[in-house]
Amino acid sequence: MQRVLLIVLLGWLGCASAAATTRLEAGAPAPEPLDEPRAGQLRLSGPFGYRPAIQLAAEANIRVTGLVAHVTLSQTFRNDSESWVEGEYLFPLPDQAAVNRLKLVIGERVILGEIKEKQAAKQIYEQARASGRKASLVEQRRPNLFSNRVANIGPGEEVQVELHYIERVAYRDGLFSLRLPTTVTPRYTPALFPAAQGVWQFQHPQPATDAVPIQPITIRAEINMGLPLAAVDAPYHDIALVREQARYQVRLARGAVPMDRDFQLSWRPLPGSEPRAALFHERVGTHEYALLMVLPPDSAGPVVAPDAGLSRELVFVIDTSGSMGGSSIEQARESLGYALRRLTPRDRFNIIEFNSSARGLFPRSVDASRHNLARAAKFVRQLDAGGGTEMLAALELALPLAQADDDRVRQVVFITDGAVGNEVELFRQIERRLGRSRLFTVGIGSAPNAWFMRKAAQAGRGEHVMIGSSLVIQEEMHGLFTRLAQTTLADLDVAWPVAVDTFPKAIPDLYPGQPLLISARAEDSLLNSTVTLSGTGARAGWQTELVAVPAAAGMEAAYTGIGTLWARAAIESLMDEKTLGRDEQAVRDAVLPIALEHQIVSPYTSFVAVEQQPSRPPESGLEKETVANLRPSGQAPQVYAWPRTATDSRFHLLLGCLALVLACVFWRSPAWAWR
Amino acid sequence: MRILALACLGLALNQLGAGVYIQLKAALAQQLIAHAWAQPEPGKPWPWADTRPIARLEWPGRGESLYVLSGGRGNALAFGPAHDPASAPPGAPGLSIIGGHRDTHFRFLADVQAGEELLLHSQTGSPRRYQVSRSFIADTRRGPLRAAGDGLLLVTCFPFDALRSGGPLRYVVVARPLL
Repeated sequence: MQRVLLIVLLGWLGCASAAATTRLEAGAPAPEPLDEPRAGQLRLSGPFGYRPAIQLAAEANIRVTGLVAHVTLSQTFRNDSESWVEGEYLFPLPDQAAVNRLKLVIGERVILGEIKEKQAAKQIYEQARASGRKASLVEQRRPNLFSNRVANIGPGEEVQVELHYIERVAYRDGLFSLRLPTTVTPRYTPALFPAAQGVWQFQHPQPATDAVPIQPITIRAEINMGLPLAAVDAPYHDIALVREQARYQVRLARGAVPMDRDFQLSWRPLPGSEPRAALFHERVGTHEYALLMVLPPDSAGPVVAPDAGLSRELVFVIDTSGSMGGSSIEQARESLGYALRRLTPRDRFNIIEFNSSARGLFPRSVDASRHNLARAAKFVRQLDAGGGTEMLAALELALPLAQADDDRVRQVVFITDGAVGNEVELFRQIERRLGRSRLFTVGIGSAPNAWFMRKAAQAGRGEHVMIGSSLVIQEEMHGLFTRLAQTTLADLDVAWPVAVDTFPKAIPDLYPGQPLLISARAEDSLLNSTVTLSGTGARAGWQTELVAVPAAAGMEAAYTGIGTLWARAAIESLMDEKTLGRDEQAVRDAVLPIALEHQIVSPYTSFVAVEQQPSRPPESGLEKETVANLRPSGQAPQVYAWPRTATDSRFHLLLGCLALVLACVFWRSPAWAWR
Repeated sequence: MRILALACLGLALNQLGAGVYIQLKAALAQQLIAHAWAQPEPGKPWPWADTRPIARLEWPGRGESLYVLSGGRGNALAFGPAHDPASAPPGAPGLSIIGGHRDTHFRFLADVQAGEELLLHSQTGSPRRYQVSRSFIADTRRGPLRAAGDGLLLVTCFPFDALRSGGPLRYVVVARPLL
């Protein structure tokens, strides 16, 4: 009874003073995630005060021809302050992007960037900065994380930095797709691996006005596959589409959007016209480069034959760290719930949850009985995000060194946003502990660490899927589970007519709907020669032949950048060798000539552009500003955000008392006293 | 003149109401939360709540007892100290960050001295003992809070007797676990 009274009283208080509520909320709430950048009035006086610093706008121009995407990304730095500043911006790019051009645009002047060894480039930049000349330096921080520094931007001035990169589009189950990341999920780095310090300073949320999104991006894309498309879709953005024959023009329906979620574009050819094989080639310098795509026939059968007594063991590992807070954990719960419903009574399963530590729902995998599934479903419903991301402990639980010695197919499904900084240590453990297991990664959230997802799945000889919103969970998880339940196409072999150097070096197992993609560097011309492919499926052997032909009219762009793609794959493979323990100096010596020849940014090469004449008078000093990334959409507050911990109650009380005293004075004093 | 007096009275009632409202809400909510906490599985303290209690802070030396709410978004802070979900769960290994209003629940932090002991009760298991190791004043304009290790960080606004909210300073009390 007493409790009911209290509740009623609280409810009445809630309604009693709407004005008081608004005032209270202006003072009271904990730091808000920046998921609605237009709702922003509060953020004008955000936690770090108003900074009239460097503002940034971006524009992406995507041109897809065949399997190659040419992307021009311009970043405009505007200096709204009264002093000369240096702008610094950390930005993500797709994992396999090869940055191969840099242009610095100041008013009407255009300065082309040059590729240099990393230290040399840095020196040139520092000198230019000290001498007052405008300069830009683009460096690779991590495989998918780049930084751009622009020196000597004058008061009120605008400097545009134009980057160009080449990327291979993804192709799976007849669907082509491309992802343009726009913000960075803060990485959790365990205390033992202090590697990500450089990242933190870019993570502050910045104040915004409610008129324009801060850090807006405009995106335009053109898709030319040389064939009609059945659908073009961008799941996380509204787009407008225009078609001219086989060219499809895409732009954002609302113009500029805030850079708080990845842009994904996918398109599907008309059924029946899906390409099954393609061979692109390009001559660069003394070598011929080729990109080979082959989609094997769907000859695969199910992993577990219905009549055989074998079963699968599925271990789900779910990340419940702080960075998964907000909508990410909901998506993870939903994905896991879907996965549980797909289990059959013959399967065995377990769920491992990890944040600052890891624990399993069951001590070891159990039968997917109704009772166990009900317990699991309850466990999943109660999962909540908080704490660190100690992924290693979870890996050790999921991939024990001593694995049961039976014929059971063992599949580990890792559901995470990959917000870790000790990736290298994790890959090493995956390779060491994998055994017969296969590791699959499910990337969650609006800005997952895609590089980690892909590499972890590669090390685990499995696959990765990305889930950016609740809307695509069904579809993506369905696809993953269909593939989990099917056998792979194995023992693939490619016979080239001339000596070649190919990447990937080891041809992976293929799942149905997944094409084989190989980048090659040939010693001799490939034109009009034949490449033969063969492999064994679940039921029968398979063989096919491909002839290298010249580009069709209008599709020449599909043949440019093939050499760059090879170089990017070669560098990535070399960097993987370093991860696995090869001497750093040897790797560097191998990477440098490739990166310099193909003019691409790598861990050992950077782009630098410098203006000829100094523009900053020597007597004005230079201040340094960083441009913060928006927090990924839907993510809850990170560690270390300051709470807002004061209300105006005292102010109200004081003002109230004063007014009361005044009221008394006015009431008691006779009217003549005021004449 | 009477009209002026009535206007002043109106303003006085409005302002006193707003001030008392905040204080009353803070005190009342803790009562309801105490009730929710007593249930075997703590649920919502009142039907439209967007938060739930996750721990209880007790200062045996001062007779203070506060329910810590799950933070997330919204105005959990109006009803009690709130836990930052990005930090470790209260009582778990790692660093837990708990924020509270300087003029309601965390007003007493002003008097807290190094060496004082406090208890953190979680829903299950025995309470964990902490000892205040130090306190400091931080400026939010100098960037986010950086801290590491095992323990509790109690954060409130500073100065304690400021009239208006929204100031840049924070008062942080650091407590380390006692084994």
